[in-house]
Amino acid sequence: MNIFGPTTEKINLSNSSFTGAWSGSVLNMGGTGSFNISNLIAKGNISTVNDTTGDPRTSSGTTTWGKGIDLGAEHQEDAFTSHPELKYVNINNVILLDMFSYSLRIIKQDSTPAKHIIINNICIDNSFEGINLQNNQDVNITNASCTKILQYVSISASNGFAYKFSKCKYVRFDGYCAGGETTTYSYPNTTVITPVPTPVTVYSRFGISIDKCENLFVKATIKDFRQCHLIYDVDVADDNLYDGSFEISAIADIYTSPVTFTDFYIFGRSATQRLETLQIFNSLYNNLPLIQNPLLSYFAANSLFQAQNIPLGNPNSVLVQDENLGKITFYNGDVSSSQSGVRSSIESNAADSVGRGAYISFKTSSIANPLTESFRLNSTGSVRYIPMTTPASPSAGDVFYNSATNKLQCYNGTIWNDLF
Amino acid sequence: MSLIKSNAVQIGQSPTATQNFTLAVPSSPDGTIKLARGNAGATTQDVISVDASGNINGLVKSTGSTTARSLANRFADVVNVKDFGAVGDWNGTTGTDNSIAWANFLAFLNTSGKIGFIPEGKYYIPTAPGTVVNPVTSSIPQLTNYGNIVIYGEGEKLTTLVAKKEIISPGINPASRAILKIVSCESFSLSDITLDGGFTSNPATLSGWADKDAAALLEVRNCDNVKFNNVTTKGFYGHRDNSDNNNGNFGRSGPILIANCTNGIASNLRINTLLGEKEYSFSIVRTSQ
Repeated sequence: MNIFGPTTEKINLSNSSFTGAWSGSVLNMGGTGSFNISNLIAKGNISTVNDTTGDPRTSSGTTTWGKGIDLGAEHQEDAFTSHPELKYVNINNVILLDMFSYSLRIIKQDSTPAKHIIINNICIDNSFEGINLQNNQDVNITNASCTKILQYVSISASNGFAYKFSKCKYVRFDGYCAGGETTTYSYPNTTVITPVPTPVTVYSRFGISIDKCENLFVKATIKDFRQCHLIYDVDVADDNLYDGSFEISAIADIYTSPVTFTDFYIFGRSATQRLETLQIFNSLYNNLPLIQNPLLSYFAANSLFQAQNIPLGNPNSVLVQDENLGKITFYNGDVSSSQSGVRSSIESNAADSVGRGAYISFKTSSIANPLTESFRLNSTGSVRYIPMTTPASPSAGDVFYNSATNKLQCYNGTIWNDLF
Repeated sequence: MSLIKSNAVQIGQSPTATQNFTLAVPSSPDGTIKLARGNAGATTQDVISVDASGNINGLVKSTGSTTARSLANRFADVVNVKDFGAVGDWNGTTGTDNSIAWANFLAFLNTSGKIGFIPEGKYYIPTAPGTVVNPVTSSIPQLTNYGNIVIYGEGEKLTTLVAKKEIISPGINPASRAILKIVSCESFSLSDITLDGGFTSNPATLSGWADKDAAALLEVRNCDNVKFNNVTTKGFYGHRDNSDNNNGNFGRSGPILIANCTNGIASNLRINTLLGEKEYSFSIVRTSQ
């Protein structure tokens, strides 16, 4: 079904089903917007064996057909060069099954983006792409589910992703995606293709793919993707990773067999191609905290997790909260390049089995050195100034415990005075 | 019985004139006859008449209602496509060509503003109504500048409009043709009906090429207030016309094309392009509008 044209607006489409859209989309929609799309079921068909039309991976035919919902791309931007911005789209309660190629995509040109997009309660299964948004702004996606999203090798090496955000701004995403399953294509009809191809097995590739976006909030459960669960712009040869805020909260499970897992998370590309700011929180992989090392140095070393070159210079700072260790560490400096920054931490130490020994300690150091404890607040109510040598460059009011004299001393702006 | 040679015959001898009836023809006979209440020669009230064409005009009162209306007036409340000669006899292979009846039906809906009804049947419409506006870009006839068009069927299972399958060039599989293209109407509403592209199996793949014959089964363009409800499409097979993007020919690769319209409501649709209902059959939750 096609509803489009540059002046199309104020369309309510509901309670409908679509199937059998051969090489086209089940629904093409475009215009100036104000579209409500709700309560839809659409189904294509994916064949895993060849027939008289040839390789099922390369062409739609009698056994493989049906693209999903397309707002803005295939029958709009290329057909109407003056197509306007698309505004106010509400997609709600949609099931998309067995889609050859994409399931839902809203792809707009740079000069005419889509704005104010709400996607809620969408279920996608067995497709080569899940949701693909490009040049979308002010997007809120909730209750999204993409399962069995496979890389359709012969069509494009870029598919096989559940969610893709490209050139998007101000996106809030809350969803689930799972790869894991595989499909093997076979060629029983030996008269169609010469030479007869060997069977091809395709896998899930990316859970969430992001490039050239700004201000994204991602909350996701990601499972079983072969190449990477969440990737931020390593495929696209573009130095500009865009400024902006990125918040990632994800729980992911690693797929272990039969495929080889390449990377778990990837943020940025190199020392010069990196994100401006990034916050990662509440993230687990295989039920383990994602961030345990306050130096973040393991990002490059651990093949399951890469987060390269996150700038930490003032005033940009990264807050890492490690729930297992009860530690909050503050950074001020660039740990990846100069090792010249400083850091401070507040750490808690749990009580023993009879309730003794609980305390909160305060530590500081340069980033290149281990954290050194300077002050402790005990659960008994007492405080402890950790014995140390006389601090350099004191200010009036500074207090420390002198390890040489075993005296508590206070600096009055001129000299250190014993307090007892 | 003796032959009565009179323009009027009174039946009944009641002293109350309204209890008597008069059977009369005009003083200058024109082929009509009427039965009226009252005495011959007096002012009478027509009960029923038959005109020269054999049409019966009389008053009836619907059960439970209060006011009697003429049959002609009563029947005109909803315009029935069969009143324009349409026959729903398509058997999957052959059937009556309803193209002219379909065009006249739509033309009357335009001029009258009345609601159109298509009763049970499969109506074959091989040629869409209207005229070809720009033969360079599209050979699809179209209706232009119509008023408010409202059409409903007896239900998706009972009322079907069947398009023509046409071979568009030698060696190419046939494609479905248009049932209706309507442009710049004030409003358009279609409900409780099936649009059938005529195919029962999936032909080989057709891709896009320059073809001014490319058609959707139904195309509504430049229209304010478009409404589809309880509409099924099936058996459609089309292809892209990639020669004229700006006229939306791309969209004619699908069974329904709604282009440059505003205030649209489409609900309870079953868009089954190729395989009819046999491949993916499930019930639609119907909602009131």
